[in-house]
Amino acid sequence: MEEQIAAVIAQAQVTNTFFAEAYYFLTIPLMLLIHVGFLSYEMGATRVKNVLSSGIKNLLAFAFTIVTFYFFGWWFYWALPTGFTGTEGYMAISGIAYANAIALPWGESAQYMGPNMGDHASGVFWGAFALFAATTASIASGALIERIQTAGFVILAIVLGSFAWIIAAAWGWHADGWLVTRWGFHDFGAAGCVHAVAGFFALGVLINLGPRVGKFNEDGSANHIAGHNMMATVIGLLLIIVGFFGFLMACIILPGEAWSWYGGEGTTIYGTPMTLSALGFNIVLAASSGIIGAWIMTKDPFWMMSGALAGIIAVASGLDIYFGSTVIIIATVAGMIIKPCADWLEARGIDDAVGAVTIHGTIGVFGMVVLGILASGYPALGAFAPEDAATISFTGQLMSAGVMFLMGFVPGYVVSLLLKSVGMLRVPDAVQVLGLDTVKVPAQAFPEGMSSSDSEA
Amino acid sequence: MGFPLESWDAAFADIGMFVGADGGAGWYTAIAVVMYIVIIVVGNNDEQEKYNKHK
Repeated sequence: MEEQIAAVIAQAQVTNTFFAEAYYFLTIPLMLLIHVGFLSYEMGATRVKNVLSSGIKNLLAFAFTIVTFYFFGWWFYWALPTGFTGTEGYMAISGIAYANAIALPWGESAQYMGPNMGDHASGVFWGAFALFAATTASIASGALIERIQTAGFVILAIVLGSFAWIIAAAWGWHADGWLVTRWGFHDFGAAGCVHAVAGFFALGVLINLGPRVGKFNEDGSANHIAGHNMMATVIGLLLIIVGFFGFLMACIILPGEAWSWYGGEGTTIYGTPMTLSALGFNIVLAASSGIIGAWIMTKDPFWMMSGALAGIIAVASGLDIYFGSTVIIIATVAGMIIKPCADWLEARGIDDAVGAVTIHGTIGVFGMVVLGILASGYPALGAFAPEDAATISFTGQLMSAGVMFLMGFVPGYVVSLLLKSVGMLRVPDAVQVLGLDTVKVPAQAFPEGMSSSDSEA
Repeated sequence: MGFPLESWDAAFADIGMFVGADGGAGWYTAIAVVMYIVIIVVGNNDEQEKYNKHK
């Protein structure tokens, strides 16, 4: 009888292991839909003469980020949660020694970076994080369309996707992260380490990149440069929302495995309790409310779909603990403020072609800070944390938001400045006027006819 | 090169089987890194040539 019970328990464990492996694996193709969406959205927002160049840029952001995340990005996440010193954290799942043992594609660590019959977790975790990284890089991509050089952009995408965001994630999205342990930072859905970092990285680049030819007049007033296909843009944004389900479900730590926080309940990455059911309420409520908030202020389908995105980002930090009606309020406000915020930025000479700085940067900060107001005093770490562990607070969220701003803006500004100094940042104005596709793409987007009215091609 | 394991059972035990499990994984990584640095350099040179035609 005991043998039979033991056999049933063992079989149940196998089932649990394969369920967990399949669960995270399936978040990967769902998150790939984010990139289908980005591709459609960016190409639609681009003029005909630059369509394929935008598409190529988007594809390369994804591709180079994934590869470099394998080479070194994953290592940063495990090495630096306690800070640049790389010391081991309280939970003993961080530090340079730990990262060297599990996150390098060479030596003894290689067994955790490839096929391994004893390891049903590393690859699917890595895959989910790699898609987070690629998403982060793609967020900045849209702001920079129609005038950034491809190779220079690839370098920026690598810096953002395999260095800046992942270090921010080590600090604020890891149970040993110093923002969590010292300041009680809570950011379930990565509004900070993904969205705010990407949005402000884009801002840093935009300052050095400059506007598209024809964007601003001599008196400083801005001209609207319309994309060639609003349908592709709006549909693309909705596909991004679909992919977000994969992103957010991958943020849960399933129970019952050696790497789980608990045997019987799911948790956030911080070990605090949560259910997938909570996301069932909150993601769709957030997207819907954001659409409505943006509609009432703009009546513009581009901004309405951007509102859906902004709605989710605004509540992402607390998606695990917000009540549905709370989500409706926060997300509606987010949808209402994105256009005024974007206009404010444009009035200061920043040509953000798709509002990425506002939707991801500004709204990411808004979301982090609102959580500090509404969830002040809630635990930031699970029951395993020391008794004096910091709890969620307004000041903790605010200071952490400041760190996320710097982790995005500083590398974006510095690296783009370096690229500018060696002539690898901005496409020459003459090429912008002619059209990027004509100059550097051996294919045509619409070979049977469709051209920009302002192209000499 | 050559299959590093001595039995079929070993393929299901511990690490299992993958190309590089015998210690060569690092060489594959080194080659891949060099490839990608070269790709970015060549890609940039190609792009600059195209821009220079219009200066």
